[in-house]
Amino acid sequence: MDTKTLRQFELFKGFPPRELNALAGIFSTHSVSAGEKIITQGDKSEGVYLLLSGIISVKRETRSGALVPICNIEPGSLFGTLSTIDGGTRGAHCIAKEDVEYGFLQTVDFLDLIAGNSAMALGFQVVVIRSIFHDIRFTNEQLAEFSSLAPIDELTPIS
Amino acid sequence: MNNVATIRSHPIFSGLSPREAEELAKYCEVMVLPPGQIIIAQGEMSEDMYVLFKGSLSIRVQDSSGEELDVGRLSQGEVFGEMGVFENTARSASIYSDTDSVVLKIPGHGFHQMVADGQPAMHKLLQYTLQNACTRLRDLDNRLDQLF
Repeated sequence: MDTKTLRQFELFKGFPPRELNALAGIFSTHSVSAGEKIITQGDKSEGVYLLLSGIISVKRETRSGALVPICNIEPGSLFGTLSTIDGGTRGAHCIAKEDVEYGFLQTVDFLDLIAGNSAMALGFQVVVIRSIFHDIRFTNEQLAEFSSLAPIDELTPIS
Repeated sequence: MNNVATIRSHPIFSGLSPREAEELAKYCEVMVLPPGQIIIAQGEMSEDMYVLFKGSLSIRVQDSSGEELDVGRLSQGEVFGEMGVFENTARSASIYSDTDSVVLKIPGHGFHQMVADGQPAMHKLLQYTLQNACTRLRDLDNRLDQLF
């Protein structure tokens, strides 16, 4: 993965250049076309993702099979971290809204990094915590919003 | 007060060697506070984070009329103000000491320097913060799941 691409993302602000270079080398780069599914709700994690370009749509499937749009993931976002850390299942579907390019880090490499004590590992742990705090804030807002709405199955047609 | 001994008395930092704790102490300030002292002011921008070593603190939030309401307590051992260092956003609440308290203040610039240096104390603090953040997010996600 290109270091210059990483450096432009807010999430990596303050990351020392040499360590950022090493980190970029650990991610593999992949491309998918619009409409392809990257993460399937309910699956076990195989790793974490960093969106490099394009937009990903996050949709949550209700018990009756309806898909509720949750948010869009924009370039520079890390996603799929929580289930990779705690071993839980994926909480939502992630579908490419347009052609996208993303970086991927396998579970074993990711877990090594977030448990490590090198300067690069600590820098990456800051990035992961920053990303999780962002998700906490967003999920809090979602809870407040959905709690005040009608039952979710009535909000969108079953697709 | 022996700052190194104080630092090593906390479960997060108990595995640090005296030398590693000394490195952390160089960047930090041990605050000994009487009751009623303000530590964090709602609305201020700050990257500092804190660890409560002794005592009890109250969390207060201003309502629309400007009156401060008690919304929670922090007890011995808790880490607080960490959103400031990771997200650099304005403080969402004020924190006051309820009792005689001892707080370790980790300034934002010191935190970032110690991370860049790969300090063992930061490794321990980050592991603790990461674990807590994941637990919080999974709990929120489970609550959201109930609505689906």
